[in-house]
Amino acid sequence: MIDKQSRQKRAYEAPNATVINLRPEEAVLGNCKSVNHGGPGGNPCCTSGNCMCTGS
Amino acid sequence: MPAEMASAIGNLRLLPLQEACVRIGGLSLALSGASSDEVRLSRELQAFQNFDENPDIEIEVEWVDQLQRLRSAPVFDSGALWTLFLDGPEYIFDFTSAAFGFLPYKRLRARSGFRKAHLILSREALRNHQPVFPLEYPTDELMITNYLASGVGVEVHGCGLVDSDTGGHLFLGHSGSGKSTTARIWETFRSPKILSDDRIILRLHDGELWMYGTPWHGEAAFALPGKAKLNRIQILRHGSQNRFTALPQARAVGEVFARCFPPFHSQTGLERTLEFIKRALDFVPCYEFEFRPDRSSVAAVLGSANHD
Repeated sequence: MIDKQSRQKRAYEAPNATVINLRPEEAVLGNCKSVNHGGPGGNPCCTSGNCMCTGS
Repeated sequence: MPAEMASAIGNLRLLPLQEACVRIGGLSLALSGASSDEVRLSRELQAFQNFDENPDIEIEVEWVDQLQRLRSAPVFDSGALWTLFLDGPEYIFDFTSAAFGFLPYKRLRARSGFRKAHLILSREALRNHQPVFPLEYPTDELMITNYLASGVGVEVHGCGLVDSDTGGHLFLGHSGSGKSTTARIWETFRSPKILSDDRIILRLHDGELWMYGTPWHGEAAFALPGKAKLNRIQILRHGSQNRFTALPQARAVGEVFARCFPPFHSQTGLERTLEFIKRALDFVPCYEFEFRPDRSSVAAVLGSANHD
């Protein structure tokens, strides 16, 4: 037997689009968030220059 | 076979092979070359050294006098150090930097599946930049993330730590969302094992979600080999109070995907990455964690963890 409550229809909810921001400058390996320190030879935080602090 | 490879392999056969092996995200990656210089590991990678007779990923390292630019059109430009080309079944990552001149200083030729690769270093470009660490970022991370994109896992932008009482906690976040801050707060008040304050690898084992530490750290420079089971995923957001909001699965998949490192050049890799995240979220819930950057946020997480 189906009780009355479970037969009640749920209230209509309009479709809802949620925008989720991708941040390609962080999601692509090899970029550096620090303009001054990015790339080989220019970054004191890394062994031979390539920054590991991408998007940290 | 390209000329630079033929000459390098010819030299390689006359010399005994040197090897180094690291284990990251539960995957073993072996580096081999003709001399110890070709398998030199950075300090960060040395912490992840772990010999494996049957590595998941094998990379042969070779030196050539000079690397020339490829003439074909790239299939993906990272906008930074590397550009991707296709050559039949091979992916070719060319690394260039103004600091090393206009020609590539390094070329990674990876076969489909990213189980085997050749890494070719340019003597001319790198002659004034010794010592050279062949796997230097982002080469190591490119190999691992592309291998994971076969559907076996995903690397995410997050802080992962292991509390001695409550186990693994994962906090995902974009740049500036508080990952390193969270790591420092927990270190101060709980002294957990912090697997990384920036990059964590997620894998599924027997219906359980596990996180792994990586050598690729953030501002707070936490990076440890280790793993922990997860009961939930938390997405950081700065706030004036500590509050958890459960995310519907569709939203959670999108939010986690937005904080991962997928292979944008590969439709199959993107699809498998999304599928993996969906599967992971079948096993654990995902919450947005609005937090205050102080001790109260630790108490909030510990209190909520009791309800998992």
